[in-house]
Amino acid sequence: MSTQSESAESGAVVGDAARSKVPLSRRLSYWNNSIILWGWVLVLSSFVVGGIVGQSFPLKLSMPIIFFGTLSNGIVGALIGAAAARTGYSSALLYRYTFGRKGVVLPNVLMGLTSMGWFSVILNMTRDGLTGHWGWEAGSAPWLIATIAIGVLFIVPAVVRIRWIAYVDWIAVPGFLVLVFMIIDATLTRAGGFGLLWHKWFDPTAPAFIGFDMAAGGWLVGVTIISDMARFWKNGKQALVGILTAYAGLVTMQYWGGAIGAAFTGEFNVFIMAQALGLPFVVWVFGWFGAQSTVQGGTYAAGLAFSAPPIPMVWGQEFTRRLATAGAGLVGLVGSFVGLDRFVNWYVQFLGWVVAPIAMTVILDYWAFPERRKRYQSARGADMNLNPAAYVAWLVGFLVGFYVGQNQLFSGLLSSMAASGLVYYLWMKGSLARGMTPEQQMGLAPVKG
Amino acid sequence: MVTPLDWFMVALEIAILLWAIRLVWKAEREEPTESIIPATDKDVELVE
Repeated sequence: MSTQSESAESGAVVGDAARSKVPLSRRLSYWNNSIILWGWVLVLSSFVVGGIVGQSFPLKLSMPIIFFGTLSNGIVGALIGAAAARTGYSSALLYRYTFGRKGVVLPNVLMGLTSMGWFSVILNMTRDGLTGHWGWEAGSAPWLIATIAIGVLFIVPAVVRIRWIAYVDWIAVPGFLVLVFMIIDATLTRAGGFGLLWHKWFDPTAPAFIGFDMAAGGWLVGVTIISDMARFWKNGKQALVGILTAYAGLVTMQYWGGAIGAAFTGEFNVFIMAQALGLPFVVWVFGWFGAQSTVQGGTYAAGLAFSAPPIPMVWGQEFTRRLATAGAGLVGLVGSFVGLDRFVNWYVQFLGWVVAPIAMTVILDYWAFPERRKRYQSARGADMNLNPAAYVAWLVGFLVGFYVGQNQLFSGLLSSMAASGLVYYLWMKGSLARGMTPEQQMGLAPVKG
Repeated sequence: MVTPLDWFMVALEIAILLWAIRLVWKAEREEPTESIIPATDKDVELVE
């Protein structure tokens, strides 16, 4: 058990607080943290998802579907982010109260590996944009060097500190916004105006709720690990406003950009879209900034996931975080050679079913039960080793989402959230009414006096 | 093309958005973040 004096001793290496709350003295201003979040959301993967929706639906349908998908993400992110700002905890520490001190390994591993999956996907896409431009063949020495160099650049700022992520973002945010406007403007000019694309009709290749799942699922991982950034805001109100603005605003705009691009060129890879539009090489540079700002954030989040308890601490919390971040980045780099990008379409839908139940149980645990919310104020407030209610809710949510989504009965993502939320809420409500934890109810922990 | 279920989901989403905003504002009014968070590094407690 730690004490205040031990904490003071560790203060010099609090760093990015992988294993503690972020104190008020380390919080950032509203706008500084907003820039970090904008860098996080301004990425080419948003173009990819918007483009996939735009390939499946005519613009008249894809634009409203995208808006309500990203608004849904914004609500989930705002509730998780506000909880993070109010507790100062990273995602890994926040999940601990819902899933248990040891049970937290499941969401941490799932979310950490998912971030690394996106690392590989975006690395390959960025690399292909560069090698395609120079005509380097896959497997050649320049191709290999480009892959490793881009991957290492993704990892380095995440290892150093969140402030280094912000430094990159001060360049990436305006750079990528220029790219967004260039692609949208070039597309609309060549297509003969927005009106022509808007009225270009084809029969949708999927039901509307599948498009919703694509739009919402694409950033669901991002909002579920939003605590890693949102905890640097000064309070819950700032987090709510900042996250809703970023998702319902900036992410929607990018998705629409991807959908408009796809409506004209039929492509969803932003670099191929740019080439098809005859845009200059500078677009790749801006695109790389977007990729860099996202993947360094994902690597940072994965590092936090793999450096939180019950992972043992090595030479203080900050060194542990840096070691875990470097390791997570290397996993992503290796994954890029496996070619995960080929599975991106299917992967986006799969993500929703895995992540939605995690988001839902964490939101309910903090916001639906005021008596449990009090426990988050103590570093020793996580009262279970493994919360069976959270595990059962996650499994039920995943299975329901998988079944509903695969059979295209309705939104797999919303079904997954509803099922997991119902199971978790009812079980926890019952446990609290009896003055017990789900762990005690199952006989997995002794019942205290 | 747009079914009654789609409209219901849109209305539900807007209702949840308003509920979320009210919930966060209420929590901040009753117990401000500044009152429940350590002020400096020396007040920080490690989670183990």
